[in-house]
Amino acid sequence: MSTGFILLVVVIALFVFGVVIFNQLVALRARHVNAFSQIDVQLQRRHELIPNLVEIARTYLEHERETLVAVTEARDTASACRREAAASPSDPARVGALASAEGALGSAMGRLNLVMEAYPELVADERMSELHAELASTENRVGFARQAYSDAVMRYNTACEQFPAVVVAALCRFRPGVFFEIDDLAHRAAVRVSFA
Amino acid sequence: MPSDFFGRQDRARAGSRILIAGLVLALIAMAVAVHVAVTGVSLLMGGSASLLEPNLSATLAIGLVWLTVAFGAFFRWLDVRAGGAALARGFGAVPVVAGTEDARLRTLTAVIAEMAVAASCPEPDAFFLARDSGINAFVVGHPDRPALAVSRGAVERLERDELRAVVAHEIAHVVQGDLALNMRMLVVLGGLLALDEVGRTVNGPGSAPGEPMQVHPGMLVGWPLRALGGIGWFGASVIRAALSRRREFLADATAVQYCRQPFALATALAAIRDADPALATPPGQVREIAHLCFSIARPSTWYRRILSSHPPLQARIDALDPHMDLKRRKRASPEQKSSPENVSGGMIGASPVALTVENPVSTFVVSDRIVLLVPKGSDCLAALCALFAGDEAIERSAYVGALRFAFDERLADRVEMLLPLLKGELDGDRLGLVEHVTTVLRETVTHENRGRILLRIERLLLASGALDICRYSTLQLLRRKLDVEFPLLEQIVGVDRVDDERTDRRKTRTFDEMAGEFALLLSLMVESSGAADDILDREFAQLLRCYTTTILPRRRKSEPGIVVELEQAFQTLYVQPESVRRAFVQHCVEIMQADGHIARAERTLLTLFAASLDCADLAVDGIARAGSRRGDGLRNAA
Repeated sequence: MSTGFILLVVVIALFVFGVVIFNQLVALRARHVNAFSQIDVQLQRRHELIPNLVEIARTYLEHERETLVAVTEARDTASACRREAAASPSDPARVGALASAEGALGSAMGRLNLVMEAYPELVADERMSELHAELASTENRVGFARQAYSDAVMRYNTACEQFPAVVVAALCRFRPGVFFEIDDLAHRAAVRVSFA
Repeated sequence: MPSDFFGRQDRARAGSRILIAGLVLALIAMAVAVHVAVTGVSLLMGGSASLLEPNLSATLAIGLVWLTVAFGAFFRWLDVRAGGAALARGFGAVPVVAGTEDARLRTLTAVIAEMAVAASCPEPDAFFLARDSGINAFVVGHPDRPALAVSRGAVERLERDELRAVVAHEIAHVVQGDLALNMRMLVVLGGLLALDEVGRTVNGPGSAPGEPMQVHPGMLVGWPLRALGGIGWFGASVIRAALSRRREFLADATAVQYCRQPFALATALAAIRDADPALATPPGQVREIAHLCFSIARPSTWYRRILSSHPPLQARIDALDPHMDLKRRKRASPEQKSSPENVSGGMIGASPVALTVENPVSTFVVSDRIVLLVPKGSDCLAALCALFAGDEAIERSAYVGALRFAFDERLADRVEMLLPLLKGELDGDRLGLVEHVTTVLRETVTHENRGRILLRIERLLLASGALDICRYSTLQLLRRKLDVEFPLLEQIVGVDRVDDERTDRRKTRTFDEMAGEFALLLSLMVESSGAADDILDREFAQLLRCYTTTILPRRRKSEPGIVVELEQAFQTLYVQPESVRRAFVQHCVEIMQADGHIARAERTLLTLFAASLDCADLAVDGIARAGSRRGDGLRNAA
């Protein structure tokens, strides 16, 4: 066996190895992008439910127009951010904007809930309690989708940073995934759907 | 992160890989066995030239064997391939329609949707086992469209979190590929079973009992086939069961990844453990899908256990949360819960799992003398400190000096003054003294300060290296009487997380399995007699031999970290059922009586130890019996 042949074998082996790693990274990237779309689906569901809730609340809360307007506005902003972020889930700025808009929506909803607690007949409304149960479950799903996304990002980022994948990742420009975190503590604390 | 579920998943996966490799090796071994058997017979009959080159008929025979296996596997595959919905209906499950009126079923569909999102997988079809009042769940069908069935008992008796954890476990089976694995396993087993079936057919109908067995040439083929099929099937079943047990741990760890609530999963498992055993799903009923169920009744015999698809419930609970029972007790009695800030000190302050006592310890009669000697709170505090003073004069003065440093002059003076006065009580009536002191202190000192005092004493004892088993038992007893949490618990939780071997101790239930704890306590008890090292070694070995065949080293109280271990051993014992605790104390009484008399130190230790485990009466009885047998011995010792 000549040296050239051995060299050829080594090069081919390295190439195959690189391809395997590349494919793994692609799969992980696809998985975390898909996980983001899961958040998107759940957020969309949440954004669809909120107008219904506001509509029912409007009939009871005539003097709380401001709160309702705030919720509607926050919802519209969040919805717009969601569409933008869904278009490019690896853009940290857009994901950050969405996280912040979601935080604002959460605190607006929190205020609405506080206000609603003062209106017993609204609390007793059957449609309202159904909607609330649905919204609570959707909130949970948003949470779990975020958790799944974070896990997927963690796996992808870890895979990208490990040797020898880090070489392939650098060569093929795999960018690290962005965690979806609502960093404002006030926003985080305010999300509260509870009164069924 | 609630726990290291990724790490546990990796370990479980590595274990299953080994087992799958084992299965493949077993199949290869079987192929070799078939080859050798057939060519061997052919050689004997003068056919083949060698083992490696079988003649045509032998090749045909080998081919026939494998054709049988292939056919058996194919038919089994046809069975298994049927959709999950059909299979689930076969087990009596009814589909849950979306938007159902039943609130509990709505919860079920909601948690299934949540967990499917968490697992990033398609939502499985929900089914309800309306007639099954036990707590169980399973997944069946094709991995692309599985059916998830949950029993009525699970829906009715579990909290939402627990139900979610159970659903997460089942979804984890789907995501980890257990459905596909189970399908392949069943196909392999079906093929092997077919060999046995064909062998049986070739053998023809068996002869009636009493009649001579009819021998015919077909048996030459039939019996080897049955033997091959039977051995292969058994081997594959054992491996399948071992694999399945591994996968249960994997599914548990993955479920925690999805729901992030190891405690909820542990309590769901505990609900099954504590439920009526009659409600547990017997393995026979769901043999085909047993290892996709949430839990299965544990067979009682060892040979059935090696074929059991599920690990013991306790092992699964311990893997999730070794302190589940303690935490649950704590949660069950919120009125006794004290906020972490109640007791100062880093160890307690940060403890997420501080333990309180829900059953007050049985009370003891307090003599008038004690009440007269230490009437007030401050005297009682001094008396409490006096409980930890040693027997020797040097030890005592060192201890009082330490008190002077840790508390204040007046207290130390009072302790110094009380020690000679309380000599009789300290020697013979510690329980009475403890009873009185704790009653007074509970009324006069706030909960927070009681915690502070005990913590400070504990630190003082730890620092001076004086925390032996006797003082330790006293501390335990005082903590329980004063309603103060166990300060060392958090430290142990930390230790448990890094040290798997130690967590294993928590699951121990039978006396024999607690040999480690027993040996530790035993060593410290033997050491309390204060004899020379070689005598202690001999005595310990002799005693240990009476109880267990395992050789365990004698532990010394000077070993580093022994206090943590002692605390752990004590906790392990303390959470055992009363019968186990009583048995343990009974053994200790027997040990103390072994040499014919109970020395004073031993007696003190025994009563304190028994009282801190809530079995004071046993020690008192034991001592009284020993006293009546050898009254003079006891008097001399006292």
